[in-house]
Amino acid sequence: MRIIHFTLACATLLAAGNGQAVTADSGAGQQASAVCAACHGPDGSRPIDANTPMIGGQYVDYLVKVLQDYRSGARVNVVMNGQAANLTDQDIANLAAWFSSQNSPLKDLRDSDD
Amino acid sequence: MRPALLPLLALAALTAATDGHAAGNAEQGEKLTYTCTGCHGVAGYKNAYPNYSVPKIGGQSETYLVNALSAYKIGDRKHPTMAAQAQSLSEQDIADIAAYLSSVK
Repeated sequence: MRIIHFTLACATLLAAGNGQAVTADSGAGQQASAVCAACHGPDGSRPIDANTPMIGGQYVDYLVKVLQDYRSGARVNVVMNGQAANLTDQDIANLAAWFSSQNSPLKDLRDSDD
Repeated sequence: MRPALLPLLALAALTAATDGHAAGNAEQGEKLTYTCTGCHGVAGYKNAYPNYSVPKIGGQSETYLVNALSAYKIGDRKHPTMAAQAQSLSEQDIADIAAYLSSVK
């Protein structure tokens, strides 16, 4: 049991190191997603134009990384830098959890080999 | 048609051809994406340092893909592997790749 506790502690630390120490709340993410839906579509998979990526069904940790980079300015996009500027780690985790769980045409290339 | 109009039309055609992105050829793009599958073809494949999943790009929006590859190519978007990949691509290659990837069902 002691080993398990130690392992859990390590896992938590690792998660914190990735900036994901928060527990994601997909429902809260859905509530906060209305502003995203204006461009990306209600499920994140029906963007308003070809400039705008599909985010529905994308990997959750990639979405977290992208939002963190927009928030910090490491990735530059006029619209997204503004949108992400005031998001907390919790907000980012929630939004990423919501959009990653949506149905989407997005796929890994392997899926299309058949 | 008056001959004087021909140069104008030619100029218009030239402007259209150089305005924005080249039209992508999905068939050609498919050939160019062989390298991409090394990372983007492995479900759940992780980028190292920082550690996160390599994104799904099959079915992604076409112009977004052109913009992403172009930004990696000129260094506006940072990622060592993607920068190296994109630097070897012409604008036409990028258009072809985006046409193919966006068409993946």
